[in-house]
Amino acid sequence: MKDSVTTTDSSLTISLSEKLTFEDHTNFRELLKLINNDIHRNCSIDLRGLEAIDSAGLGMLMIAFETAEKFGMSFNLYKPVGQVKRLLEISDFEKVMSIVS
Amino acid sequence: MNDLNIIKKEKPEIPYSEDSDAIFNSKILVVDDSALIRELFGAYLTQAGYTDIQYAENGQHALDIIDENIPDLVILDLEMPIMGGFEVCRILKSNPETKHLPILIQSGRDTASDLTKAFSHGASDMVLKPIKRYEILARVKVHLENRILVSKLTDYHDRVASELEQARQIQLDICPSKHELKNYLQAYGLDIGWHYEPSSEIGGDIGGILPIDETRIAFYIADFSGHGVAAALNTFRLQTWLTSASELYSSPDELLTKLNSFLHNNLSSGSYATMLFFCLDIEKQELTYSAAGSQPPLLQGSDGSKEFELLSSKGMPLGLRPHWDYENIKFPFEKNTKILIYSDALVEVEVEENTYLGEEGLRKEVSDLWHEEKSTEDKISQLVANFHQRMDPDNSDDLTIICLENVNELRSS
Repeated sequence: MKDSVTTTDSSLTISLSEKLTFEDHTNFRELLKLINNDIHRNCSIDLRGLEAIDSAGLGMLMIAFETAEKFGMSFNLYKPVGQVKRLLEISDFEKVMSIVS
Repeated sequence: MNDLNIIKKEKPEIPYSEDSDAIFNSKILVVDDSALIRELFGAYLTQAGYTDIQYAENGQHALDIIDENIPDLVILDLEMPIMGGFEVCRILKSNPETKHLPILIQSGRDTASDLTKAFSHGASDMVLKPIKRYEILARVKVHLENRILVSKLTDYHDRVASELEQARQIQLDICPSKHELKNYLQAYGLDIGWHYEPSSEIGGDIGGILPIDETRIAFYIADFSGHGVAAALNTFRLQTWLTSASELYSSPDELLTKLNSFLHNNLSSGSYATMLFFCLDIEKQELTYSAAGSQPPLLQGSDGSKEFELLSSKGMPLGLRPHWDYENIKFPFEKNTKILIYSDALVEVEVEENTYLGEEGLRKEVSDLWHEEKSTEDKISQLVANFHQRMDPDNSDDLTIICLENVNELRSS
């Protein structure tokens, strides 16, 4: 997984690329610390560059959502594609969080 | 050779550690045709604290001693009568019992070709004569420490491998046996094919068949996130929960709703299971199922000439949300109707570079394969063979395939 973070006064955008898998667990925990604060009101995970995700990666996205929810932030997954999009669909994630297509 | 004269009593050179006793009690075999050299080595080693030293005066004598009791280290001269050091090396390295035995060559031969030959014959290390006390003691210590470390790692590996093998057997025991599958054919008129293989010793996939009564039978497939021991332990957790929830087998939606709450309370955050749970009513010829984000099942209706179709498997994976309501889907399951359920590994394989089989690819493959005049078992074996041809051995995953066909004319006969 590669990641980049951009922020404005109210928004936090985390862009993920390549693959999000079990091996990225530690790095993803670091990214969660960015959500885990009172600075931003909106959080978006940009998935346009993410090519693949495994079961652990899917779990991490749910943890990111729950972290944002805990801090009262709005949250969305931005433009997932391919296998990532298919897995989010099959898992009914759009019933829990906003997925921008 | 006045080295013997300078030997004086002193404390052992190795600082005490939990391995110190093991090092000092290691068996060392000194092989040299010169009695004086053997005595010199013995004196060095004894003074340093080593307690178990044996001596041999030629290669054959050394092999006889090793045959009786394999030492932990051999200090070996090269040029000896009857059998030289190179031949001893060759024999020890060709024997599985002794091939890992460290051999420390001590020799006056110091040309590049001598050194190359010694190592190519399997020597672990080489010291040149004249023997220097501190050098030989340092090297003996290093090789014994390595031997003890490797022995510990090997013991640990063997113990873990043995425990994993037992766990694997327990996991395989959850899968129905061929005998049980035959019983289901007689009792319910169902031809069931089953394949399960974990990617490592044990895996995070689980499937099972749960008879309800004379006319109803439930079955399921589940896949826990992650692989290996943690995922496998969760499969046992699931199986235990299911055993105590038999009143829910005929209501797949309710079962998933309650199982979701159980897993959410018990799994670590972000962990989950995908699952399909089915209840088949033979009398009504109706299949009811509920899905939690598993792979879409493949169904071929009673008209066997048509292709398989993909059914919905949408649903929140179990354990991710505290409360979730799952829904039932029903469809007819008449004579000749077949359903194939499988774990994601089966479709997440490359058929060509950067192109994955996917559900649609599997659907076509299964449609073609099920037109052939083969038994269900043979067809599943073919799917497994295709999978093994395509799978990336560095990135393997647990594989489960279950196929169930209504062949009810057998029941009435």
